[in-house]
Amino acid sequence: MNRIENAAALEQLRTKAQEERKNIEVLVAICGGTGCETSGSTTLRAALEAKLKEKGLTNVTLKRTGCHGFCEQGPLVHIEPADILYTNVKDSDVDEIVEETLIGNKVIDRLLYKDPASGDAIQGEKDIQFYAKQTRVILDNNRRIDPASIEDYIALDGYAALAKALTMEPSAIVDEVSKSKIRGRGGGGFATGRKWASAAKVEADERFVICNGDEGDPGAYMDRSVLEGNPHLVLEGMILGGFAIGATEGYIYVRAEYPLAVQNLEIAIGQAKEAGLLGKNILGSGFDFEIFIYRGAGAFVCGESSALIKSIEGNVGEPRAKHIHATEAGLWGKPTVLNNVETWANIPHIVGKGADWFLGIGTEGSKGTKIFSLVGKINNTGLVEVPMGTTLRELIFDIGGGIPDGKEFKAVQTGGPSGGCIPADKLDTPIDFDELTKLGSMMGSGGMIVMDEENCMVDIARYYTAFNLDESCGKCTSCREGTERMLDILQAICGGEAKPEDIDLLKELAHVVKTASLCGLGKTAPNPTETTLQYFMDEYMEHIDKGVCRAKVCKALIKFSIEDDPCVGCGACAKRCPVDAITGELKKTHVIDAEKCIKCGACKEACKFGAVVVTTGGGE
Amino acid sequence: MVTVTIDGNQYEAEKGQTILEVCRANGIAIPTLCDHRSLEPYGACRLCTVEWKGEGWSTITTSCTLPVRDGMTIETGSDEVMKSRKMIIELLLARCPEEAVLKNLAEQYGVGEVRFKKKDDNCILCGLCARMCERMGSEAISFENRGNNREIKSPFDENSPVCLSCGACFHVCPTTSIDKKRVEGFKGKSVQESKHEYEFGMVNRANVYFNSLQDVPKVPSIDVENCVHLVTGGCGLCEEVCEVDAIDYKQEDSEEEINVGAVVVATGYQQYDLSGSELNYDHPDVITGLELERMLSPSGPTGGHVKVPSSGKVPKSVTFILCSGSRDERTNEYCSRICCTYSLKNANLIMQEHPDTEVNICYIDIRAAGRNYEEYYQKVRGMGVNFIHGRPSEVFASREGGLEMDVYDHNTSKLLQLQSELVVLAAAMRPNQGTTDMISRIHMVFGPDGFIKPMHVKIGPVDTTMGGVYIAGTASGPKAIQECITDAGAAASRVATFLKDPTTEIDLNKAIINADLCIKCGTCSDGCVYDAIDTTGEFYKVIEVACEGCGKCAANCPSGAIDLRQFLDQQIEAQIDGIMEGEDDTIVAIVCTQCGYNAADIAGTARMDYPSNVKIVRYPCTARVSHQHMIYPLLKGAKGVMVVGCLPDQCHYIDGNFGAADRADQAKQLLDLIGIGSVRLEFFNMSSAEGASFAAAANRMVDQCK
Repeated sequence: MNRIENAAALEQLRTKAQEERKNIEVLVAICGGTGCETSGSTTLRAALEAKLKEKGLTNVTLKRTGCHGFCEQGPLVHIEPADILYTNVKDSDVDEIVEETLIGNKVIDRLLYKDPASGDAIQGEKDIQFYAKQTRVILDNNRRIDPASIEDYIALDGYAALAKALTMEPSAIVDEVSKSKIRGRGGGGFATGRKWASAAKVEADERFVICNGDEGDPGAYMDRSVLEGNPHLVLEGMILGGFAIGATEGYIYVRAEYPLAVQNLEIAIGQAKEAGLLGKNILGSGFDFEIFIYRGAGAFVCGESSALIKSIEGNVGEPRAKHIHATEAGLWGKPTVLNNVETWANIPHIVGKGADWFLGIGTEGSKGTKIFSLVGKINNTGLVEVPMGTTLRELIFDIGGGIPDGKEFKAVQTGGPSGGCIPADKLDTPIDFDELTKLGSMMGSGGMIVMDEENCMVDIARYYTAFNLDESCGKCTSCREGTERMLDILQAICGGEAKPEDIDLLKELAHVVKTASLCGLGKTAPNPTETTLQYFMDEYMEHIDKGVCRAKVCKALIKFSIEDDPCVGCGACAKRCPVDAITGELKKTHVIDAEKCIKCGACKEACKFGAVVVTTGGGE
Repeated sequence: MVTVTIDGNQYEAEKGQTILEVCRANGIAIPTLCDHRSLEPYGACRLCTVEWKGEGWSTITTSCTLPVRDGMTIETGSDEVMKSRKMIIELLLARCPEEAVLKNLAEQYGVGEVRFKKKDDNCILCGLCARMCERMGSEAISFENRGNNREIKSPFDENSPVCLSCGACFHVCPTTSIDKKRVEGFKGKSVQESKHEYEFGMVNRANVYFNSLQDVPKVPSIDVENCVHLVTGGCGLCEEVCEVDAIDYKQEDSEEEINVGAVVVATGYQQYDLSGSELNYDHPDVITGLELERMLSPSGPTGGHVKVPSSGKVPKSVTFILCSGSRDERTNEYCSRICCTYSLKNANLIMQEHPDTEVNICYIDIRAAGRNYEEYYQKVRGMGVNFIHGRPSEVFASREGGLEMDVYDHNTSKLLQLQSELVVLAAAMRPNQGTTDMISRIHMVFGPDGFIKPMHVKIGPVDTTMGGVYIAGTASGPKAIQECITDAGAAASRVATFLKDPTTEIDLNKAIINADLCIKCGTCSDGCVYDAIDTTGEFYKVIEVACEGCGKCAANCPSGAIDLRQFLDQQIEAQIDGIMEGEDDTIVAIVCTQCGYNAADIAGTARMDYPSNVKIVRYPCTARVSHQHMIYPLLKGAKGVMVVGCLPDQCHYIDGNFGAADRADQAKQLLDLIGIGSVRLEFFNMSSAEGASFAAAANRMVDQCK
């Protein structure tokens, strides 16, 4: 690609790219997100390409795109302009798709999404609840863009915001971002505009911007999908940020476990440099800006801003006290603006469309949309983007399609491993920074894990406390020693060995860990424990007083046995038992030796007759 | 300046200070475990938390990392703070139940029984050691792992090649986690301990230290070999804490030239090194008299009390061995003069403090010359000290512990076997290295004992052969303190006399250089022991104040460019011509003014017989006598020529007579060649008192020149 010398040249290029794309008769977009690739979209794409060649269908353009979000249903194939969305597509479906749909113009019902409630096949994205209820500002273009094509991005108004901004005063951009009231998408919800303004006003010879892509929450992949699917959007946001605060270098700190994100970012940076959108004298404006990729080595705590900065500097990723903000002395002691991937992705939209447009979305205190990764006991696992203020119920039941297998919703954990668990009676809470905090949870970076009746809330608290302890850097006493002792108590409760007064100690401990810890990790680590104590105390007390785990999760409190009636004596359970705890003659009821049983549940899975039952609390 | 409210009181603070610093400055107690004034605030232990209150909000935060802001309100002991502080102490105590620092904190803050399962760790992970190590520029240890697996380790848990064993880690460790052994384990060598040289290694010192309390000027010095900053570039703590910015790491040893009017050489002595001798000085409990002096000094390493070095206990028996290295033909033949008396004094001090301690003194002779010394000796004899007249043949470590020696007591004619816990060697006095250096620098003469030889032991004890250079104290030989003080007074008065006038009168007999003839070969300056030839300018010049007028340069100048005023070649030849007028059997005696002339004078005044045809020509020094001067009289008809200089090592111009003797040998060869015969020229060495020698020499010359 030739260097784009100025804004006019960019517009010319855009017009040309748009014309080219208008001439496409049929566009088949295959999701190339990590979810769909894992379910087989790579071979699917190859097969489709071969088939199109074989058939000589030159009017069909095939495109590998970023994540479409509906990961539960992947691999996804979207055909335009007819707006047909095929789900769960396999390599063997390729012939049929080419013959029937691309040549015969017929829709294959079998491959359409079935509404879980009605069972009806739905043809287009717009009619699917999962998509219909979303407001996809950031994610929408993912399915239109080949992440390896800068022209795709430019055709969809890419870098227009940058061209516009370069004609403005840097301070005007800071003002615009401040006016939009956007708050950081990384979890803390700090006002982005204020951050920018304070970094811009510090006297310094050098400033930096950093994109935090160290997304470490289990089950969360919002940032990954944006980086993989639309890398130029993040680059444009960072260039805008750099121009606004007077930085000349930007760093993207991305997990090494995201190879596709790294690869696509590298391609995008290369393209942007070639096009003169990065490097010296961007678009002829005289503004110089470079972006470097820094791969994180897998420490969760490096997602914490001060630890992340230390990590880039080559030190051990340990947080420091932030009484002196990174905006004053950040990377290498210079004023630094560190924002999350999603925040940077919002910037081109805000600068391009104006703060007023952004203010039109969301609630009073939380503007814009937010991407959530909806996982756990939910029908429509995937990435969803909704306006701030959408209620948890809308998100889980309308978009997420509710709980599978007719099970009952128990709680939703928001904000990653140190978020809180919100119970059913709070489902109508609108999702925004302040509301979630009020419930003892947090927005976090957007993880949303749905739990049903089969989740033990004590076990959940134990699990996340163990995670946080493992990921604690160990620097400060309260986080290191405190979470460890919390875990001891939680394990004792799960093991049926706790005393009622342990609950008081747990509460006391959780409070100190929360108030006295150094960084966000420690300060939020007690959230799962505190919220479950607040909303699910009865479950705790059942564990302690009665030795009952109602979800039948805590192994020490459950017992596996075989019921006489349904058991046909087939021996399937005995065969599967890894510790030979099941004995019995053929065609006679089998018996589980409780001494030997390790409560792995293999027998229950093996039994086709429902004869293996789990009991808790001494009830046989 | 900003104002902060802490616990309801207002305090002024400097911008950039932390709340912890402000609290400390104002006596508000805040406990800390990971804070160190030489390290950046770390905020790890969370013990120093305070409550920062605003309108409608408050937060718990560490005071060590919290910079002051104008108008902020801080509570250091609110319920929230105490709740958190107590829990932190409880958590740390559960981790390290045996650590005194935590037990004390628990008591102070009323933390009762630990409610958590106790571990048996002793490291609280405050990171002081690793951070201090980094500060030292070594980074030999750091944190490893994370969360509750975090621990302090060296890389790969192996001995770190960058560890200096400086010990900074265990000095800062608030618990017992880092002890010496652990550090030594890291490095595989013992922790660096610099022995205090002034205290003879009986105590250790830091790398920046005072040599002694009596240093003048009292300025500490840095041990450049071991200073961590100079090795790694790290540390720098002394510079940081020095309020007057007196530390300068870049300072280096330098040589400086200073112009002075006079020099007093008072470079002292050193103890003779008895290492490896039969007296077993390498044994820890065999010490020297000076080491005992330090022990018995109230400011010394043991606070003025005698101790057995290996056990630290008061010795049950002490044996002094006098003449250790003195009066011994294998080492130093001379008497060190002070040892008897100071050993008597130390024996007295030990007996006074520990009457039950057995004290032996092994001596060859007790030389207690000096006012009241004999009386002192008699007093000590009466105190029950055992005096054994003999020197032990060998000191060896006894199998039962302690030391053992055989000594033949001449008084009782018995071979004694002495057992002693402490042996004190009265080591000989040797010229200091500085004395030896001085001799080579300013051309003084040293005696066979290595000490500086005075101009004259009787009439010039503090003078040297060089005008303006004086000696005092033990630089010129073993002396007691009172003699050194006498020397000092004498040297001072000599200096005062020498410098009293703004100008100095000098004799006329100085070398002069004829620039027209000078070929600038350097022979003159190379030979001049007074550095009196200035060769730096366009022409060589004589520095007249330095020139002593020996005439050596004039005799040696190959181009004949140098002469000695009053002893010009022309004048000398004229003198010879005068002597020779009308005579034909003259023996010309060329004598130096110091010895040869005086010897001749004594021969005369003592009316010794020597032939009247021996005619004296007086020279300042035989150094002036050139080949020409030796041969000229013979060419003019003299029967013979005798050259008389000082005794070989006693030339008053240091070495003038040596060159003259060499020239006489050469001239004799020449005389043989030209047929005059070498018997007609002889060179004699004699002292000024040797009148008879002069007469004998004169007679000999008359005889052999017939």
